[in-house]
Amino acid sequence: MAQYGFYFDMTSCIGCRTCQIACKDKNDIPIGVIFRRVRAYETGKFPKPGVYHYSGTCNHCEKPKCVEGCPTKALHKLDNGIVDHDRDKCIGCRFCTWNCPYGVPQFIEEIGRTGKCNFCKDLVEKGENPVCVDACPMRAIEWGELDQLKAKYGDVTVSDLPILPPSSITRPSVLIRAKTIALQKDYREKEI
Amino acid sequence: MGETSLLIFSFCLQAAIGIMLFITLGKQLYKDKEFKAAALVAAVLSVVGILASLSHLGRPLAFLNSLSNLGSSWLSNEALLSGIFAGIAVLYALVLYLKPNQTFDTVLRWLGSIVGVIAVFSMAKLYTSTIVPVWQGINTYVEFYATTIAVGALLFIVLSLKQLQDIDKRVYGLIVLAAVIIQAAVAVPHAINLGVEGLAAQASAAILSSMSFVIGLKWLLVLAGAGILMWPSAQKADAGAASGAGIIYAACALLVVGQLIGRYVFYAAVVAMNIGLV
Repeated sequence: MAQYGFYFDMTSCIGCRTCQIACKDKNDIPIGVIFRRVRAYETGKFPKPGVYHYSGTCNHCEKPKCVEGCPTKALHKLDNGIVDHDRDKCIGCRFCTWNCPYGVPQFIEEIGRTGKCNFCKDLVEKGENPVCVDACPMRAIEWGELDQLKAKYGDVTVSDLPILPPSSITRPSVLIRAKTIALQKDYREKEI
Repeated sequence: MGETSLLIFSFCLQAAIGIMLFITLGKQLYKDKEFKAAALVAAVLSVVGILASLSHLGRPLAFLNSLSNLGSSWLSNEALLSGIFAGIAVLYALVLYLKPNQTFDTVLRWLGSIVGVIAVFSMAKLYTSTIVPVWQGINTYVEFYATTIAVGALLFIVLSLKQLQDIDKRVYGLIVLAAVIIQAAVAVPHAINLGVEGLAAQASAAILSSMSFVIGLKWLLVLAGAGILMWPSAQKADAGAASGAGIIYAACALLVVGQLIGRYVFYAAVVAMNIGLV
């Protein structure tokens, strides 16, 4: 079975949040809910301070805890590895929000259900890119089959960072080209 | 805190399961006695609990979808087991009041007790399987089973005062006291260890620390409630003897309020693991 995944180049990301806004626009997400979120972190201190950004969304994990725990099977894996969400089945129990270590599924009050990134599967099926990929002015996000992404970027990427939950929990389908400072444990999240 | 409905669900269901367990124990010890009031309250608590759980859902009318992932999802398993227990509790009360039948009563009672014990396990397993550190570990199992036993025992005694008059209640007192002492012995190191774990656990530890007065009150009420049940004048209490009955009512009120506070803290201390909160 194929497994689609994302590649995120932190060394190129400038934290502009265009991916975040494009995702909100495409999915018509109400205020307070974000499917792709950009976070900013500071590390170190004078004379060696550092800053980096992390653009994260659903990692379409190989072993997704949200799918395992969902009582309705609204959350399920497609043949291409996408973790999809069927809103017709969802009953809004919010159990997925306690199961995803990346805080991805979010409860949408207006519809009484949760929602999450579905890899823009409608665009992907038409041979197009997910909107976050196309929106990024720095070309910091790519997508593809995880094996091919690994062949292309495997030597320079990681799946674990101090800010991220251990990849062993859900085996996320994401490869990160990390800044060196992102490997430091003294991170502090900055609200921008 | 936005989990009031879950608090009501878990507390009422566990209280009802506890009552059913003690009805079964009571019938084993005193075959000729009927515990109809206790059976009725167990049924009412089960129904209240189930209704509360539905009010937690964004789409309550689609609740049957929650049974679609049995086996893999502990929420599915819990929903099924709780539903079966509630059904048994209601049927048991109906049979006792409308058409008593000794064989059928016994089957329902034992079935309800067995399903209830497994349902409490599924409730605890559901929470420990999440990525919320404060819920992980043995503490959640102990907390849930101790509440089941302690609240169930006290409600059973209060609702069966007439049937249990002239019966020494110290055996129940000992069971309740043992349950809450084990509960405290597990909860205290659990809370202390949170402070040395990851950031999400530390955030929960900070919430617990800010609620230390409330948590202290919980243990005071729970231990006092359990201890009072051992009081000599509580042993011969019946509904007619005011002082003895008063002591038992007081024990029940203290313990129920204490365990309710504990359940409030259980949900109030939630901090889930997340990016930057590992």
